[in-house]
Amino acid sequence: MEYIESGRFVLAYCNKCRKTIWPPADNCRLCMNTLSLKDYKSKKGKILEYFLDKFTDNNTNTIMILVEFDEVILIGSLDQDKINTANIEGKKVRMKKCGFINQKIFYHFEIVNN
Amino acid sequence: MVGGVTSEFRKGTDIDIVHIALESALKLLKDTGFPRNLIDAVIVSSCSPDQYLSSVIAEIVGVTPKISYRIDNLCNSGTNAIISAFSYIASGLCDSALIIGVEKSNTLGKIFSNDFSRGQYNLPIFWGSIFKKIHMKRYGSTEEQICQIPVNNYSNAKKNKNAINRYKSVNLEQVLNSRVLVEPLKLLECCTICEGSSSILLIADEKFSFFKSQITSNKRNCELIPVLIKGIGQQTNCASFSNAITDIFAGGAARMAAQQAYKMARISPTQVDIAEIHDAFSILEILGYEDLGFVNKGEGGTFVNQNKIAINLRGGIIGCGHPIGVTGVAQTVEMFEQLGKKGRNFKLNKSPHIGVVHNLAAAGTSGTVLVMEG
Repeated sequence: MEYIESGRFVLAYCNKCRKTIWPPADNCRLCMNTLSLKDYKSKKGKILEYFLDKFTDNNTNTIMILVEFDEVILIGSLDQDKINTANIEGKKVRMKKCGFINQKIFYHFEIVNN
Repeated sequence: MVGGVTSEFRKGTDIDIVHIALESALKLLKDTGFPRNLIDAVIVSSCSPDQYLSSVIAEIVGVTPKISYRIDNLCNSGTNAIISAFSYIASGLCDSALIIGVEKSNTLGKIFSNDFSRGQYNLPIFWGSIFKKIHMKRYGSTEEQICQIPVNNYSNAKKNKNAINRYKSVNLEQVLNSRVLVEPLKLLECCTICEGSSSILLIADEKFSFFKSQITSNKRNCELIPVLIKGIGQQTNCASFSNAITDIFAGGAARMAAQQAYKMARISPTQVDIAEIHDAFSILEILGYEDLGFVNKGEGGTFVNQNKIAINLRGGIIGCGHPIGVTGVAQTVEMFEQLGKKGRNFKLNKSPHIGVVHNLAAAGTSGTVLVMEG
């Protein structure tokens, strides 16, 4: 989590299982092998589903998305500049920013062209 | 199980957690007349971090138990406490146990902050909306079906003097038109976190006659009503949302727990007369119908207006409120009252004989099912 705190988007990878493993830990939860870190900054994830969030801020609709990176599913927000919410399901995204605000982790994604 | 009492559920009082616990615990001991010197275990279910809470409560109610501790497993803490007590009794280590679920409105259990896959969306309302949208898209369940759940549960809560929403009525149109919080989840589809307590007495069934004989003659109004816990299922598949979301729609912890409980009780879902289902959000009751085997996967929406099984007669979590560590205990007290014929008259078609309690935690990553027989 210290990597996320410094704005680096890395996930834990098991070289033996050849899988990205969630939650991040020192050892693989499947085979107990030592995990290594894999940089996902430039990797593309896929939007599985999107939601209009009217709860976090009463006055603004933000978009909450479910994103999949190699079987790891994260909930984050979407950069809404020039976005038409129709048909964004299945679009590719990249991590624009991640870190901690008020001791709370956040993920902020942007849509990228295929 | 030989006794159960639930306190009023409410919000925002300045009553401390110990006194909230005493509201149900003392009434239970008075109602049953159970000798306090014969209680072997006191197990408290709560997400409150108050130190040594079970022993503090035990001392005040005059119990000196062999075993005393607090259990926290978020929203299914209550049924986990019951399972622990059951295990002590089944092992022979104890003959009796007092289980107390207690919570304040500002409980730490409101937010699960150790799951980083939820990102900034760490309140339950976000996964509640995700479950609803996925169920609607994948299985075709409709807004009308899902929004009927709060209508039913608010209606039942009106007959429950302890429910936080006992004075409130809602119709389908009001639920459908209530404020959208996170699309497609609406305000009236969500439960209210509140405070309250609920207490249960469990004993070894072979010791029933002995304990009954110990209730002194000057306690003529006291009684022990036996209701059996016939089956227990408990399953925890993961903790993080990342691993939960695929698991929930593939099978899920609650489905596995139900199968375990039915197997232990040697019954099938078709024998169930009454159910307490964990409806913290309306969609969870629909998923509950499926996980409990009342319908096939994806068909929960079609079961909403059935009349074969009495569902959430106390008002469910939406109608009653959700004091996190109390809910599983309160659901079980309700089942005890219904099966032990102490229940309110809900005009059931037949007297219930078999009941199930369905209790979830942390986006369904953990599920508990109890099968009870009156």
